[in-house]
Amino acid sequence: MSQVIYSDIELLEGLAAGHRDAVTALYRSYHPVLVRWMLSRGGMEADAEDVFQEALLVLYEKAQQAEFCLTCKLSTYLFAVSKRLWYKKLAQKGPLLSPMDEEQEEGAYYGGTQPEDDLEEHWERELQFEQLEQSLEQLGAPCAALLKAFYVEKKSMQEIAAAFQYTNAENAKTQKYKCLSRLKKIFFARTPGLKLK
Amino acid sequence: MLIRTVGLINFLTMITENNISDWAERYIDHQLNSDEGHMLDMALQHDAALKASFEASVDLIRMLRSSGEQQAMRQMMAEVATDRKAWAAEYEKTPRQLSFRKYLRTGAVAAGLVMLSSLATYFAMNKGSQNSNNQQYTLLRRELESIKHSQSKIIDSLSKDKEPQDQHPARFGGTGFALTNDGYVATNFHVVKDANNIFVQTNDGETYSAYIIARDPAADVAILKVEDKHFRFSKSALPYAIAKSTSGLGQRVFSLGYPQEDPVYNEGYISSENGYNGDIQSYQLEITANPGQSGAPILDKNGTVIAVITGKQSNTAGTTYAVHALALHNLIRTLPPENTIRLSENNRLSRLDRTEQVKKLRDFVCAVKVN
Repeated sequence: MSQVIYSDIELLEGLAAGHRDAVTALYRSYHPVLVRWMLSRGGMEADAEDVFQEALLVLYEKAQQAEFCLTCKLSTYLFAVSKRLWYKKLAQKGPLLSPMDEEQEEGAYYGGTQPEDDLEEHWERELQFEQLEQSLEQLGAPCAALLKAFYVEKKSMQEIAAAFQYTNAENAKTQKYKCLSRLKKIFFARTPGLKLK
Repeated sequence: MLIRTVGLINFLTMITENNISDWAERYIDHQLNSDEGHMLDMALQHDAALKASFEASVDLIRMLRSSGEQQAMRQMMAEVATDRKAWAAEYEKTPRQLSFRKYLRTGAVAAGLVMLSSLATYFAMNKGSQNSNNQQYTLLRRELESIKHSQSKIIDSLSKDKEPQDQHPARFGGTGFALTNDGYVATNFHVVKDANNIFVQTNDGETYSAYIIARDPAADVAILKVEDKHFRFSKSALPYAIAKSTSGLGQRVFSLGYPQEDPVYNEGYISSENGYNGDIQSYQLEITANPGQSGAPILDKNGTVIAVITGKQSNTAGTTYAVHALALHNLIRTLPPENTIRLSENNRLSRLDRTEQVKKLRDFVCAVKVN
């Protein structure tokens, strides 16, 4: 069984590009460690799975930002994020379960990358995605499907026109504009004063 | 030059609220040439409302895209997570595996010898006449009788536990397990409720005096402390962690308890996430439990303590109830500072097979005897 060993940089780039190999490699290297840690802290395997996926997602989001620069080892960063995610989960379950204070901060040297800030950013983003999802729901199925087909599935206007039974691509495009401006109204009415990066 | 200016003006008039999202899209995708970029700048500079609309479009399109990408990523991670053989191969292998082939020849010879000798014994025994066989049979029955006897005695004493003047050191008992190596023990509240004296009998047969330091009658858990300051369950550290979260339906579990003088192992599964009458603080388990097993730890396959046995349903065979380990955490938090318990941070059982797990666990499970 020969397995490619990736460097931290390669893993980050692979993750940012959404490569399955990179995700598998990250699982192979760090999942067992996290599971063991979680089990020792009274967590279940299912908790570990949740925490790990969430932490990878944070890393994925950061890796996509051009200005993101990992100043510590990938493992250190991933573990720091996972730890905070688990503590937050515990805190949600009940104030009595949060860990002893000394455990919270053990040497927070991550250089330029602050897991704490990155997590805040992540949660804010999650909130926005949720708002977006609700806005799309409010927008109605035909419009939401059209926008998703174009922006998410990246289908061409010709394909969309065929799939949604518009007479031609130009028509579909007009429809798309209308949908987007309606979505804009709904979304920004929901989230007044929203500041995006 | 002239033509170009005309073109510019035409384009300027074209940037409106109606097509702003198209411009936004091309701006994000870096599809605007320098002239167009310049035009866009001009148009936005002169019209604040248009600028706001443009920015909103940019934000929204970016968010639509990244939300889609994030969903795809989640999906892919979930796929990788279930595709365990792609990444979990090494660590799921049992830690120690004898290479069977290597020992095949020696093993075969040894097995042959054993068989030969046992056959020889069998014939020798049989020759000795039927009598010896009968004796073994009676012996077995007598032992059964004595077990029955002691069990009914426990039940007996349970029914009249209000009389404290008994000379016998243990009138009834349950099971407990270590929270720390230095003598904090978790058990059921109902085991120690009306106790005059509490004794903890460890795996090596030694008996120690203990007292209650915390109780939660509602959850039916109590924490005891062994009086002896030098007491240690074992030379090694506590091998298990206490769960801070709950386990799901179908989780395989096992338990070690003292329904008799020796520890008894049982295994089963979580059959319902809620306990008796829908009690959300406990699980319903399908696992054998006998009198004396109250207070026994329930561990999951990784060797994490997830619950404490509290009782069973009387009209069915294996239906047992166990309170969540969370109740222990909650109780520990109520302890005064001088009694603070620092729970084990290590689970040394997760990668062992079952017999190894139980072997390590034995030292930390004790009988709790009360009079």
